[in-house]
Amino acid sequence: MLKRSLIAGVLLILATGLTAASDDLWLHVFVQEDGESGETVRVNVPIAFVEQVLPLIENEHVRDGKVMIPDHAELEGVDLRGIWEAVRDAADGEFVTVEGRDENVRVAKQDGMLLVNVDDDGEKVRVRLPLEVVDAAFSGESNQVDVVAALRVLGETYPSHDIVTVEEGSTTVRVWIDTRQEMDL
Amino acid sequence: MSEPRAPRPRTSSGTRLVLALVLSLVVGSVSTVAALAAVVYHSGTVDVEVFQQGGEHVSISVPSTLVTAAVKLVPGRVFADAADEIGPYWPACRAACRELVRAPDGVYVSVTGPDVEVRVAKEDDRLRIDVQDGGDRVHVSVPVKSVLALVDKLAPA
Repeated sequence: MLKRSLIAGVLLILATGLTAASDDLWLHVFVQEDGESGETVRVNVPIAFVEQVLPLIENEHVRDGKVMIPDHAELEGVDLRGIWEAVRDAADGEFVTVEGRDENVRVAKQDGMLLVNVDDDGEKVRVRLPLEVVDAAFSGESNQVDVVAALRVLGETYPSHDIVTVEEGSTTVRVWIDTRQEMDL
Repeated sequence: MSEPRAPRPRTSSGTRLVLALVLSLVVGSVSTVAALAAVVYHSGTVDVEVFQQGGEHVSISVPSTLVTAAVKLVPGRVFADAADEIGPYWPACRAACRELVRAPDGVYVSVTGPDVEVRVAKEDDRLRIDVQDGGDRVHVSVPVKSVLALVDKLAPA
């Protein structure tokens, strides 16, 4: 009886801690433009705030916290969720490599992370997401990306690195989460 | 032996009644003013300051209770255009304001550039917005609960 109570207590503390952690996490966006007229933008938003507000935004592309993938001819007949499930269940490795004159794209799975690298005519995009987050993003219908679910899982997995970085000319963009309200650069 | 005291002039019952009424009025007025001051002190003020380079300097400070009351009393049609514009985004705006009430203090947005400086922060339950563009400066400070009251007024019909 005592053992069961102890296990229940530990589970309760863990669950509370997990909720508190998600509540205390902040999403940070940092944009820096170099040069004389360069501006620096810092955005700090509690993840809980985004989770509450996003589902209430409704337009033709966003509904219930989900982004609708438009019916582009290029994506016609492509089952994104199916592709993702295949990638998730496969062993680590590089899944997509596009090498062009101006553009290089690389999509890989490595150590529980989905890595997307895009180099396009001087623009460098790096996305590094835990697999659980991508899984949550594709948990809805095949033509939807569930941003709220992804954010929720992102809060739980709490990666300690940049989620997205973009370098374009003199502009740098960084997106990450942590427990600090203000940016610690 | 001391001299006997002169008898105090007797006040008539009518005078006593008037005195009592005046005293009650004074006490009532002072209490009301004190209570109002306490309410204003606790609810804070809505402050707006605008400095224009080489131009005017406007400074407005109004008790937020007054603003909230005014917002409630203004007929809905006054806000109709704004309500129409905000329309589909009203639930999100309202949720954002409610979350802002709960959210901790801190700087939420900051933009710094050679000529521009923008800062949006929550401090002591107030939303503070500071914008500096060249020589012009705008400062707005408003209790977050007043923002919520205003957003409530913009609810779609």
